[in-house]
Amino acid sequence: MNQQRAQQASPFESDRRNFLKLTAMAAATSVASSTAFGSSAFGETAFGADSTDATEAGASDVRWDKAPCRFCGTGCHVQVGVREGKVVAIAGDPLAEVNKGLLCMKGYHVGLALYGKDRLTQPLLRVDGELQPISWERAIQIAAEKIHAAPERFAFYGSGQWTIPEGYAAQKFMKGGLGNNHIDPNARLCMASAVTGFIATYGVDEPAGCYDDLDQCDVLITWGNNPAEMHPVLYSRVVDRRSRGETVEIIDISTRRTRTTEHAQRHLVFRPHSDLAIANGIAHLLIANGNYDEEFVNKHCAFRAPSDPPTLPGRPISFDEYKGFVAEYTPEHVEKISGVPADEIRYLAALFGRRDVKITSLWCMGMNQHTQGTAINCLVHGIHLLSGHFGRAGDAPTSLTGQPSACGTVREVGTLAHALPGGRVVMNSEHRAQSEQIWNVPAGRISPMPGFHTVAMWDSFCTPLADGGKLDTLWVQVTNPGQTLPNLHKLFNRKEGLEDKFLIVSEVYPTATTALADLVFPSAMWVEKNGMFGNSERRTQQWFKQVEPPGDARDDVWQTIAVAHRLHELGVPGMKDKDGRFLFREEDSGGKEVPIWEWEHYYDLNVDERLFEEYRKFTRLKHKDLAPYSEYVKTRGLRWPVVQSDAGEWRETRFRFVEEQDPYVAKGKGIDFYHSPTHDGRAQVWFSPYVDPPESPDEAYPFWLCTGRVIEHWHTGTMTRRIPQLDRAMPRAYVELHRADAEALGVTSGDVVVIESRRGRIELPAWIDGRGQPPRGSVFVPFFDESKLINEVTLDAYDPFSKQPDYKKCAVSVRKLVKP
Amino acid sequence: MSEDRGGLSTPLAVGPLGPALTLFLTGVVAIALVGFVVGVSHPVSVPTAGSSSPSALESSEGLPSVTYSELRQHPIGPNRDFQSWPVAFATADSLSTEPRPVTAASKRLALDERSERRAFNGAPPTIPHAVDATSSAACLGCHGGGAVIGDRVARPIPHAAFENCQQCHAAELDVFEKVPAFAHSSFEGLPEPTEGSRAWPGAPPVMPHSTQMREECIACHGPAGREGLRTSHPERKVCTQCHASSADLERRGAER
Repeated sequence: MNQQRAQQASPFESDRRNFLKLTAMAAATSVASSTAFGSSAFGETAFGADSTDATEAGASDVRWDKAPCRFCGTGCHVQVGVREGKVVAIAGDPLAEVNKGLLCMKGYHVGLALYGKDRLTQPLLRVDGELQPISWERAIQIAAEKIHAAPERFAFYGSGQWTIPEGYAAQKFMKGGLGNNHIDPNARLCMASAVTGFIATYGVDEPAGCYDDLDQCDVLITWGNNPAEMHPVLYSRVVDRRSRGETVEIIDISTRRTRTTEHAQRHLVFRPHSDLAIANGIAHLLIANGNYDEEFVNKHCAFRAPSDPPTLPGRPISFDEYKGFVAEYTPEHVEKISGVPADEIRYLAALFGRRDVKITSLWCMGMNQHTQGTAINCLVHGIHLLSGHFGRAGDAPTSLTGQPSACGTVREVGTLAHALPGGRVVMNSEHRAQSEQIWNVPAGRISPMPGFHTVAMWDSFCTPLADGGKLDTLWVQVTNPGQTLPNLHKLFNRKEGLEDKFLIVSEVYPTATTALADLVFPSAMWVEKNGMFGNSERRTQQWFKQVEPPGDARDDVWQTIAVAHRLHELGVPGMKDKDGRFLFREEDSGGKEVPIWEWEHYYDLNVDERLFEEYRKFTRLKHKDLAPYSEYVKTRGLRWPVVQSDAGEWRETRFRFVEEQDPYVAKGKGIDFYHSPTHDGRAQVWFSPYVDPPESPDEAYPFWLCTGRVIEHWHTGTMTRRIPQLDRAMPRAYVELHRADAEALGVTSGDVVVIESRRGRIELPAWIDGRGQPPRGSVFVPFFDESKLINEVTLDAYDPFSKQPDYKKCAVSVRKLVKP
Repeated sequence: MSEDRGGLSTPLAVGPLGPALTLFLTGVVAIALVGFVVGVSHPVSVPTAGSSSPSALESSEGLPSVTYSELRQHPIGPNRDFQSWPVAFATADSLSTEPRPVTAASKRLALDERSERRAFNGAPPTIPHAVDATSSAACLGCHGGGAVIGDRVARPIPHAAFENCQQCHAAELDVFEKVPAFAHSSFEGLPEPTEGSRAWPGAPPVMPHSTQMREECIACHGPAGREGLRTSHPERKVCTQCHASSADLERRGAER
């Protein structure tokens, strides 16, 4: 064959094209024929020659069971392989609708997160500046005494990684027990603006659509979002459709080029903060061109604008007023504000103006970590409503969450300073009464005053009592504020050396937070305990404990109940219910109390199931009905509302507010926003003006700083950095610079540069044309590296409604480090 | 002919026509094809420093360009080490030496090599070379059917191609100065299985691993697979005719 080919090619000059064609064909053929290779010279039994140490590994001695992944809010299910009491393997769960058997590099290695050699295995107390091992008995006693001394100066700080029962236990302990509302989660830093956006628009939290939209959409718009790295399984669910011959157009609207952009047809780079102008520009053109969905708007929408003074519900406006407000946002005006070419705005508006394409919007931290976070969330919902791109499979505005149970625990159980379970709020007397009734506590137990939100909580905790600080004891569970709070010098580092402050931290590894802890509780994690999560698409998930935690590490729910019981023994009245019984009383089938506050008896019954069944009673008010615990055992999660059919089956809901999908929409209604803020079935289309960010680059600090994540590491990296495969792939933080800026600074990749803001400074190696590429005048730094705390540089300004800080933009200076 | 083309005098091109030229040109075409596919799959152009006109690009903020003749002296990107090697697609000729029966030693070696890049049996292997491209087309250029590059073998992928290879496969980062491992791990992963069970000596073995993400038997057990894993009877095309999958492994965890 080679001979023939050579002969064919010999008149090289004259027949070059033909030759190249033939060569290409030959190459292709050789690939195709590679399967036809070989001889049968190998002995038939040779492949099994090594039979002495034969093991059919995985078949007989590995026990497999389901669990949702421990990391992000996507909510993939994994199969956990356990042998001899240890997790030894992970597989994608083919029965899981979310991920259909696929995972990402974090998910495949999630089992390794348990086995860092520096796991915390015993309670620790700070003595003379050093953390010293103590017994659980003493640790619980010390925590209880600190809280008992001044319950009103105690605060509980949790997270969207709290399982549903963990968050519920903490919530009940604080609001139903101590009558103290100082409980807030790190999710405040993560999705609080999404919540206020949903409430201001629909009157009720959480997305109407679900991941099925990703299989159906013709156009996917990512708003300041990099799902290729942060929600990889969801992004591949979209882009893999192309491998199957489907077409889906991806439009990436962002402030830097990312891996998501690699798969996008259009990339709109906007000036930080100017997304408000882009959304208003689309709304203006939809109206000016007359291709908004008039029927949808007339039937299902009302209009709103900011009130004075600003309130979350704002004030109602007419369509004409709305039209007048957005009229200012002509494509040319938007280009001036945002830097996005006017024609791109026209293109986007024309797409939204078409009824024959289905558009799904995705967003996450870019829109939420924003001092106008509530406003931009509302505006994006608004253009979907205005254009009728809502309610059909593939037509959805969908916010994603970064934590596995930001929705299930924080938003649904309501572990926020103002919230009660099931969408209730402490300010509402009816809601308080309902909660007091379910908890069987005396009327008036729950305080009507919202507690401290995250930034206020840590500011107060880091301020000496003599200087007006209102908190002295703070208990942190399942999160790492010493790395994630903004402006760390002010909100965390100030605690160091304050004699009257006591920090309790439940953790699995030493972290930036345990570095300042006075008392450390070693915790069980993930499949070392029972648990339940709720993901970004309203899906509630359950798993069972599969391995023992190491050493003396114990479940967070147990820790909360053990401290509560010790307070009960100390005579704290709040730890009793109306009938004088312990707040967390659990009984066996014979009605006898089980001492679940004693570790040896904690697993005598399934505490998770008991707490969940109690919590379920809260979920009907906002039509977020949950099924019994036993239903979640059988499935890879169910999306609420889960309503029992007449035949007794528990049926989940894919699309909310849509007839025939949502059991709470009456026949003939089509679409019904049944929690409408205006109580007339209408969703609110908001206008909010573009306003300048609180801090912009100037002469002294001429660069924008954006912070975020990378695919290898989850949040502060405390788990993923202990996974060798991920640590090697991304061993340290860096700063992404534009090539032209780097040239101007005389910097090449690997050179150390100094990033400095009005709040702090940090030294990082530069990376040019690296993972992501910021435009000129802006830099990006990931926050996973605890030795390079970029949050010592970030700004602690926050959204007025959600109180969520903005980690995505502040002004910094950048210079090459000159070594002395 | 060759004298006329002195300007392109690579050692291979001036030699007599034959296998060397074929190999070289096959390589050239293969690289061109890969480049084309990669290019086509990048519909978004790389933004250039805020410049819109070619004249602006020539000013100080443009990228310094390199002529084609200089390219060999100015390799670009982390795959640069591969550039001087011709690429051959995986064939019988390019991959196998003389046929040798699988021995306990060759199998052990193959399994040990697999384990080096996998946290446990079934984990996605990490990428043993730096990568600068993120599109799957770039990966599939070599890993689609398997390829030989210099003295290294790019193994073919055992599962259907997805669009984002680096969603699951982590590559070691070599941009910055090395830092020590962040922490030590006590994780001990499930080892690679050594063989499947047989009903009697000589019976076809049951597959000792799940087929999830390993649907293409030929990827590991075919000619481009490691020597100690290759089938003794590659002429037979339907593996699952004789080799049953393990019901336990395929249905793992499905009882709940």
